[in-house]
Amino acid sequence: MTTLLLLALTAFGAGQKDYVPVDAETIERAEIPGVPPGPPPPAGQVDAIAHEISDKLRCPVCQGLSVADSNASTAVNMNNHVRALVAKGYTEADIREFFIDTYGEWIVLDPEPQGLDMFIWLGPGLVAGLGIIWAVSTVVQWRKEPDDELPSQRGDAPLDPFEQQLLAQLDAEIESDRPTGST
Amino acid sequence: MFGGGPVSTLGGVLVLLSLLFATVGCGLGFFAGYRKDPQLYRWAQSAAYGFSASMIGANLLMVYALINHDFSVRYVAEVGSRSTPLYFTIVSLWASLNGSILFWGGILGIYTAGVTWHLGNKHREYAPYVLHVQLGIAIFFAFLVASIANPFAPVFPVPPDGPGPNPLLQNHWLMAVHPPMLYLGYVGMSVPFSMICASLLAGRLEAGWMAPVRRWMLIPWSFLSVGIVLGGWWSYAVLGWGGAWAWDPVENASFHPWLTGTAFVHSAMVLERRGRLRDWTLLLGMSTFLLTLVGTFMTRSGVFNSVHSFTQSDIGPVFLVFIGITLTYSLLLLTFRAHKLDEAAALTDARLGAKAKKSTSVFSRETAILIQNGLFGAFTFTVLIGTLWPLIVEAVEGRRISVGEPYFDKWALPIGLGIVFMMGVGPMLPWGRQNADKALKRALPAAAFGILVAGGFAAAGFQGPISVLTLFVTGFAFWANANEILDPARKRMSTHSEGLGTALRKVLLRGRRRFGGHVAHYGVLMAVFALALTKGYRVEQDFPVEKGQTVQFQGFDIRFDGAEMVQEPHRSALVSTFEVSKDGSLIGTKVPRMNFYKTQREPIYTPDVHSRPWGDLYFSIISVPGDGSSAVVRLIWQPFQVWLWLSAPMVFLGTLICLWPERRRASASSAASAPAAAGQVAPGSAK
Amino acid sequence: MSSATAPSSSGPKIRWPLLIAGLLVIALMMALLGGAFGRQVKELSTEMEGKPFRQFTTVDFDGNKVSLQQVIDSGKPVVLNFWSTWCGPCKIEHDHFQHAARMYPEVAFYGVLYQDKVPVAQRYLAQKGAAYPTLVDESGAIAITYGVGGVPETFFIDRAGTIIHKENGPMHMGMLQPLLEQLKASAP
Repeated sequence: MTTLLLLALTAFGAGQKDYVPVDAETIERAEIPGVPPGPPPPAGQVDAIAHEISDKLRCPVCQGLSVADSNASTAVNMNNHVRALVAKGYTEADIREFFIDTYGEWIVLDPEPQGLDMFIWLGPGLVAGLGIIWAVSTVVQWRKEPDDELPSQRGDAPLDPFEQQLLAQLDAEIESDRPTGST
Repeated sequence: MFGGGPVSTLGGVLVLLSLLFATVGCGLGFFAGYRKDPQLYRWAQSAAYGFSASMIGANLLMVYALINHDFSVRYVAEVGSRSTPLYFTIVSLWASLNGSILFWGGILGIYTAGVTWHLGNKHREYAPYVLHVQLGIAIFFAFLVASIANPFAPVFPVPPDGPGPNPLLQNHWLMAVHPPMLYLGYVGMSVPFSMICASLLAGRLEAGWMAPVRRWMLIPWSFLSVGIVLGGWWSYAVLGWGGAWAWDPVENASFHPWLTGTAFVHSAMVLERRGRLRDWTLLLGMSTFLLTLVGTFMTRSGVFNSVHSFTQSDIGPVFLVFIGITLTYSLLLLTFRAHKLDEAAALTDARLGAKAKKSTSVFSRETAILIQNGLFGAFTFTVLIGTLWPLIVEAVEGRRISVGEPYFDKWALPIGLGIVFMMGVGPMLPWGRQNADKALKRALPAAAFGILVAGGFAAAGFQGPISVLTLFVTGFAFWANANEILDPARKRMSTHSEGLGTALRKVLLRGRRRFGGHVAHYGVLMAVFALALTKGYRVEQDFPVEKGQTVQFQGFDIRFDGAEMVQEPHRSALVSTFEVSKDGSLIGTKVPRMNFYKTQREPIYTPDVHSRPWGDLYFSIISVPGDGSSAVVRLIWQPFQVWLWLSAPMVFLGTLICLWPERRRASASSAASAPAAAGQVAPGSAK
Repeated sequence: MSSATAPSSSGPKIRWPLLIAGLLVIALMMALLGGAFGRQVKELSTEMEGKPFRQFTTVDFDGNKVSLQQVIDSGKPVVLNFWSTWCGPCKIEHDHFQHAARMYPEVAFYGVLYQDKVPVAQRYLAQKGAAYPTLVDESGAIAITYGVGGVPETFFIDRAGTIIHKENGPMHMGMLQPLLEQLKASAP
């Protein structure tokens, strides 16, 4: 039992990261090479700002989860790093640029609105607009051409005798289409 | 396939039989329809039942093999294990690729038998073609199971034990329910697809046929809805990040057919009542199944990185070919046969002679459904293009990008709000025409209620502009739907002098279809309500704690009582204990854990949740170093989270109400009674 | 269907533009999904190649302070190898790296421990040998600064301080040698 426990302890110890609080020293050492930090944000806001940024960063070892959401070791580390950078005074743009520069475009969950990716930014809006135009033009068309109110399409309303006769006529026609000898 | 143990051999035989039945039945069905031959049709029906029996039999046989740990069968050797609890052993039928394809086939068998039985001798112009297409789909899946994905292949030498199913699947009992629900949804979409193809093949579409098509769309739709919500619950209760939906490619894959299916259910009503939107409705119905196939492909092929992706497998290319064939087939059917439906309709018109003419006004239910359909179309496009975008960009420009939550949320919000708004407007408007002031008169009380709801929550602290708007629209829609029942009930009370209870009961019984729709709407509103508030007002904080230390969070006092290792047959777990108190009194003990499986490096986190109707207190462990005397725990407060889960049974209930068979009432009319009742739309019982 | 009173239709109204468009969309979809097979699903970035190195200071397992800037300033090229004890391929390539470190003493080799515990790594190195120091990266900041998404990942920095190559995955002598020659020949 003890060996199992020890084994388990080393096993899980090997896999996950000890939580390192983002202390003054870590903040001091955090830097984006070549970019000077701005003024540090007010004390209570660091977490909120960092969360905004982490929300848009993709956890590299997950399946599309953001760094803010995931509890994988890599994500937790990145989260801490972002927090340290924010506390140091780097702006969201700086931090985002840093991660794209380091990992590649895929590290952010919302692509930059340039070039081909403009389609992602505008496309759905365009299609929604087209959808509304389609709806409106169809209604206009319906208003112009009155539709035939066939008795079988009237849904819940009761049929009058004339319509019942029409319905019987229709059914008889359908019956006659059936091959002989069937139900 | 042969030369293995008895189970392998029998399984192989059953699978081959199912392929045989499907092939024969597909051909029989086509000729039965083409030649209108009742004998051929009867044989086609037998073939359909034969397919179902052999497929379902194969599934049962596999479950038997799993339970008996028959490691001479390949699939059992892949996912079986003697140390897995019985419950998860049965569940491992769909734990891995080959088993899940077999399971697909089994559910296809159930649906095929169901529709064959239900059609029986009715709708003889269509029924043979329905079997033809349905069994055509069956051929593909039976082929997959018989060849590439064969789970029954013999294994030699027979291993003494197996690795067990993926640990992620053993973490929570939900895994037993979420995949079957989804499969019942996905696979079932084949039936309305077959029925629509049958219509195009037969070259006719009477209103009497739309009713069964709509029913057979509602059945899988309800399972799909439940399956999607269950997936969200699984994500929430099992994965430990505290969220229910991550716009994962595979999550999106299940969402596309839901969107088109919902749009279909509504446009089908316009088709039935007013004869309009025919081609659009047929297109929606077919797309729902086609999107299911694309979705299954995305999930299985390994093209996407996802928690659901099995390793890149051989079935991918075959599946893709099948998708190509089905897409082309559907397109050709629609383009070349839709005009036949026009001809048939014109023929009917000519026979009827004089007709009543009525035009549709702007303020009518048709318009509302039209707008709603437009929005659903946009929504489907948005999610689909977002999911495929990284592939497209990689193919065109060679860059790798990610499209995630920021994109999806940005569009889902306005489109979703628009849809919820229409969910209120639609029930408020009658079919045909309404003039503007009457429409507005009905809208005002609903709007007032919406303001009341939004205002009430704002006063309670939920003041963000997005949630205020969402709550207004939700309240508006809720009132509109509730009013549709209460208003006629109130009228009955005065005209028939009935009590409220009797009046309500009469109204519900008469308008079963409509009432079921309203109940389903309530379910959706519950989900929207929960989503708006959990996303907008979620509070999250990480706490490093020592044993015995208490922290304060959102009005709760939470004390960490240490962590300890627990041994289970298939895993070991580090369980952390937290005592939750409020205002001095203990209200619960929460035990989030980290589970360690032999085959995984990183532990799998199981959070624990303290759930109340007004909010969830969510515990997730970030790390527990060394000896368990300290921990870092993530605490999340999610207001009104449970309403999201409750939406699933509500939607299911609504569909059940819609589909509940009516007692056939003696018709008050004279000559037309007998043929009128036989399968055609009778007054008041339109389904 | 009796056709006695069939109205004369003007022929099937096949909407050809829709058909063509539909077929085109299907073809594109097939091409897209088909082309996506064999696509590497895991993101393996080589973004850092060609960029200048990024400075960090940390300690090695013996407690000596190491500053990458100082190493580069001293005129040595650097090999940074991120590894863990729980990573099979890392352990396989370890011997190759040790051999390479002995063959190329003019190149500074450093291992960087990735998401692992120092005592466990020390035990491993005591068994397998440590031809070059391994650096501590408790918070993961070094790994993040270098865009490391998994192990093993190795960076080759020339005397001028440019990252001439980043390798995702294990390396053997055959792969290491040409790069090390390049590093050796580089100018400060």
